[in-house]
Amino acid sequence: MIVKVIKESESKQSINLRGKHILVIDDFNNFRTAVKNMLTFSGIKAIDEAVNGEEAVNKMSINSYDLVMCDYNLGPGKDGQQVLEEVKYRNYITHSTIFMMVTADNSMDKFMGAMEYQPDDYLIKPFTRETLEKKLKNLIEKKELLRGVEKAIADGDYDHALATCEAEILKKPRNLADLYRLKGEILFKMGNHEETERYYDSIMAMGKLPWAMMGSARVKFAMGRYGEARDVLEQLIAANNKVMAAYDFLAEVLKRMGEPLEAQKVLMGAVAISPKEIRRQKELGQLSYDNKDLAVAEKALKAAVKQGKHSCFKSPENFSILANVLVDKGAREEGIAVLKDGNREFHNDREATIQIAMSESMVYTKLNRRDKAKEALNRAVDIAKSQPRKGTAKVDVDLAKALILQGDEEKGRDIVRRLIQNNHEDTEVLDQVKQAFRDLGMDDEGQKLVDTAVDEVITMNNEGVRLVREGDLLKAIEYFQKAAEILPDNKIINANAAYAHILYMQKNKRDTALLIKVRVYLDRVKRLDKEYKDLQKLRSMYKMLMLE
Amino acid sequence: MESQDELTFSDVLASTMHDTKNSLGMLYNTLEEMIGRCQERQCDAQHEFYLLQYEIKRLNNILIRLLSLYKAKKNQLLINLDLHCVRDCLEESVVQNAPLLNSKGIEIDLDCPGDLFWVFDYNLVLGVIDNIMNNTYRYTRDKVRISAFREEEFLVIRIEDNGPGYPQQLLRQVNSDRHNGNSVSFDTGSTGLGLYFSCLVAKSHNSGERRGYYLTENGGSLGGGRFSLYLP
Repeated sequence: MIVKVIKESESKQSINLRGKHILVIDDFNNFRTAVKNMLTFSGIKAIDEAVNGEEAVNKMSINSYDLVMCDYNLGPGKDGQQVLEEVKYRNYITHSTIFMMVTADNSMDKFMGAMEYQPDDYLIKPFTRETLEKKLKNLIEKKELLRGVEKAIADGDYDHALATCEAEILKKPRNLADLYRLKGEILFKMGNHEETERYYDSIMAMGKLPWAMMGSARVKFAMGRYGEARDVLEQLIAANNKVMAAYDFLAEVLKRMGEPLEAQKVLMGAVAISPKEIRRQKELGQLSYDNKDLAVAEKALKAAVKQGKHSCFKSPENFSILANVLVDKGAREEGIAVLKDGNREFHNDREATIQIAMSESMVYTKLNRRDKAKEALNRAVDIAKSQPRKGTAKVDVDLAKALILQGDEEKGRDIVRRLIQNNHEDTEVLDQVKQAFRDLGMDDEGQKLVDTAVDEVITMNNEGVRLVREGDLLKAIEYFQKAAEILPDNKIINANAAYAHILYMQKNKRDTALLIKVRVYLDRVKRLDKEYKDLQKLRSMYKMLMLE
Repeated sequence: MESQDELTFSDVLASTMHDTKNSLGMLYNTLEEMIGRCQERQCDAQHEFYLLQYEIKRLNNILIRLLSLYKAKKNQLLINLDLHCVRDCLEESVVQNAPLLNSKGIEIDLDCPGDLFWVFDYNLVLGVIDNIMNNTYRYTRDKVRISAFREEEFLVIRIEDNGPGYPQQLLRQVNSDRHNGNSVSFDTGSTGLGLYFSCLVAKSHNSGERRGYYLTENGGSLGGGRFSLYLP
């Protein structure tokens, strides 16, 4: 190349693409091949491909990539933005993975998605190999420069993060803007609002940068100066009506100011521009339902349900609220049908199906169909009892509350007892239960229920531990087998059961049936708490037995 | 008033342009691969291939501009401001255009300090630079110089060549437009479209009282055409 570069910046030579692992996502075969050829030419060997969003998400859940190049338009199914959201939301990629969105034209709006779900860069088709290589090298260089600061932020060491960030800023690297942006975030996290505000003011003096205006609005909101936050956000939207995060935040500010109707208007404006963000549609649906604007609520929630099909942000609540909206406007059949759809959509999800069954019960109550309401609630109880808990405990607490309110106190207590005994050391769950009983005006009963249930588990566990200590291992394993059957979701009981079985086999001889039991207990512990303190130790003891 | 849901003829045109652009993209990449293979075998057709690639790129740039104009008319042209390293932007354009310009023996000079930062819309400004750089393929003799520097309250991005310079009707010099911004009409014919786009981009950058503009002059450090984009 005959480019006489005057004052070359020195840094870039050191960036090497060799050894990077990359995923190329495009539904168009020719394009993938073309990109692969370019990357191969640039020295990259480990190139994986995916033809659609689902395959891409799967690959990212298994492999860790340095670079992801994803086309925005992937045909039916997930689009590029949904892929990005899902892999970030599920932590399949970390901040060290570079995600590049490939688009057909330069109209792709940088701020369409929420702030936290933005790609590192956009690449506009067509591009040459040289452009691609240069972009990749620039991005890698940037990531490496930010690594120290981002790690300190992730560790919560803000003093160190700030010091590192300011030291980098003095060097004036190419990604100075990223450092300025991070500095604002660090200052905000450190909680000195006045200083943060002054900082954003100084940035805005250079120009109306959307991220600086957002930051400024955020800090004003945090100081309770809602009116000023509102002004900044309105200015931001006037300057660039596609910074979608500004609408979401403005709606939040307006809600806090006691202007839900205004908030609804803002979100309606946002979904008119960017209808694909399902969390925004959901928020609009809920808000307009509260505002008794059934027509808007219906439209928003239907959109949320429809687009949720391919999104990690799909939620049973969309179905529940939509059903209520429809029933309120007189479309009963349709409302019930929506819940049936929801049930199908979430058929493998314990918490979601419980929630939907509960909504069904409420809808029938509203329609004065006592029998049907009861039937639905019983279905919720059946699901709750027959499957292990995977998601939030709130669903079980809500179910218990609903049962007690319906006069089925025994069933309600049953659900709660189960929940407590399976989580007897989880103070958050215990607090939720107590709070629920407080809401019902049954403070004392709640406290008593929690205390008794916790005591029962502790007694049960201690008895087993005593048997182990006394060396009566045969009795101990029989005891823990029963205990684990009663409390399949209690990690301590399951871990102790596994331990007793292992000790028994170490003393006597290995036994296939018992090994399988250990396996089951350890799998449960892993599912309940991947980080459980003794899990690693128990697993290696188990492996040793397997090797004998 | 135009209803939002109504599909106008210009919408149809715009979507057709998108389609065309995608096809061009495929053509461009295929050609890129052919050139790569061609280089390995050192075959004679290389120069013709570059010529083809140049024309495709030109068509592509035209479509980008048309789409931008369409958006501007629909009030959809947004500017995404951020603080950028100016050199990054210039380098990107140089990297894109170098193979083509070099194939014709045109030498590119890049002069921009690495610590020059400015607030602007990266893609729009890159579009302007790219367009001018692409034009030099046709008009310069054997040199292009791209530079950026700060002049008072403005960032200046300048592209100069040693060709015959701009024709009289395309010149926009200091005194005529400096403080009002440019207003270009289509009366200069199709060649004005690129400059019209430059004008649009320049004007969409403003800060307080100051507005962006561009100048087209003849002479300069290489003696040919000199394009300067001024951003506040």
